[in-house]
Amino acid sequence: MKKFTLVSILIGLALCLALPLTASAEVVKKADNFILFLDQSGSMTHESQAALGQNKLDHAKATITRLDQVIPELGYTGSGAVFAPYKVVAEPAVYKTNSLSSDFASAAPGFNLKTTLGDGLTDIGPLVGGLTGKTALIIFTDGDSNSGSDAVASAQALYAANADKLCIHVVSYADTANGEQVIAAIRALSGCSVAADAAALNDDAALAQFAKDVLYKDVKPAPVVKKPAPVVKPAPVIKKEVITFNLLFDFDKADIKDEMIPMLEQAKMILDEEAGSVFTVAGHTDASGPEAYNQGLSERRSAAVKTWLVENGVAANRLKTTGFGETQPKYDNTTDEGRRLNRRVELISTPVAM
Amino acid sequence: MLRLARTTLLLLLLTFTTLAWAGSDAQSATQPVDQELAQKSVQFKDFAVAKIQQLNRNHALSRERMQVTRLADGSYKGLFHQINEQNMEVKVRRSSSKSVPYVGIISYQEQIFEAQAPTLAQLDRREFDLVQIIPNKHLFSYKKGDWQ
Repeated sequence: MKKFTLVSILIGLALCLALPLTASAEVVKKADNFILFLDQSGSMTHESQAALGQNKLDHAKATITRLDQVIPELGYTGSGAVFAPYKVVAEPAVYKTNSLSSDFASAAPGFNLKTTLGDGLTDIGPLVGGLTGKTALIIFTDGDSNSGSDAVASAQALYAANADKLCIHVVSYADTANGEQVIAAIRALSGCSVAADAAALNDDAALAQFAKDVLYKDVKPAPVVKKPAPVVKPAPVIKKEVITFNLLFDFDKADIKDEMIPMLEQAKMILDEEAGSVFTVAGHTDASGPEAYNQGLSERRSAAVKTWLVENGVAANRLKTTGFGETQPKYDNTTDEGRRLNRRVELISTPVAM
Repeated sequence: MLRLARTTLLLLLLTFTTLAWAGSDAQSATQPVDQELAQKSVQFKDFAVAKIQQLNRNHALSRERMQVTRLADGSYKGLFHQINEQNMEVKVRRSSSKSVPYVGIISYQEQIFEAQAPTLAQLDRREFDLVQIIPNKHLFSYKKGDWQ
């Protein structure tokens, strides 16, 4: 049992080490779909002048197999087709690594050995048009289009039919001047085209770079921006209650007149309702007259109000008095209206701590 | 048959009339007796609306007369008072005085708003926050046919 546990732990560790480290960068698709498009014409069965070590068609199939192993699973729709003659060998499907190369195994030149690249580009139109999003069309060809429609014109028409959704990339097996010219012209039709020569893709790093250049890119993850905590505005502070009344004292007088009594009675009723509060009786004047005079007048008037309230049943210890004179104008003293409003008595409450 | 129908109809009419009369009697019994007080209350409500507007217009720290303070960091703090016209309440009661037969109370909230901004121009455009509420009761007397 102990041995089994030890072996299991060791296997687990080995697996962890074997797994590729996840890239710190984020990988973003450059295309939504890709089509591997293989030229299976007669010219592709010739030995290449470049040191491929095998005929061009076999080399292309092997390159497709190796490419199929390095394309990451990023949700592409992958498909495969051959031309000369044209045939879809792998219908569009969600791409899984190493899923397409076997579909090209049976590719072989047909009876007609001519290279019909132009016709192939025309025939693949519906497959390209039926895909949603951006498509990378990766053609493996020697460019020898010696039959059928003009290859460059067909490529142009394919671009025109698919607006900005298509990019044609050519893996060149050209070993003739004509083939090189055709491939160069097709590549030049769009600035997005990634060029690759078959021999160069023998190198694994170059192949991986080609796949990356065509299909995806590394993107530095955006810095994490912490959302600022929502600002919670504090609830407004509730201040002491103020009871205001404008008692029309006679000029320079602090006597309580009969016509003031209804308002004083009402004030007393409010004080009775708030039996738990102590009140400050504050006298105010407008800014007319000398300040010292106004100070004294406001003190006398607030005292008169307190006297009346106490004489009519309010406990004396619930009432303090103060005169503010003209020092605390609540209203604009530059207008008659404002000055009239400033001539006031206020009862300011202070709840008594229980 | 016709006579029976006519009699039934008359009886029904009499019943409905009696019920309606009784209903109106009951209704009148629940109507407020002090029509004058109700009238003065309506009048006082109109007075209160105008009075609040007057208080706001004349307040020494109204929005138009905002208190602006320069803070230590160079920014500006603005403060103003405003009476909330929406939630004021009014009440009128009779007094025993012949010369001042009614007293009215307006209950309202005097609200204090504040804001801060780097410049005066920005302060003017800033949304102010409600920071304090002063509950107020303002008393008025009805004398010589008018509220004062």
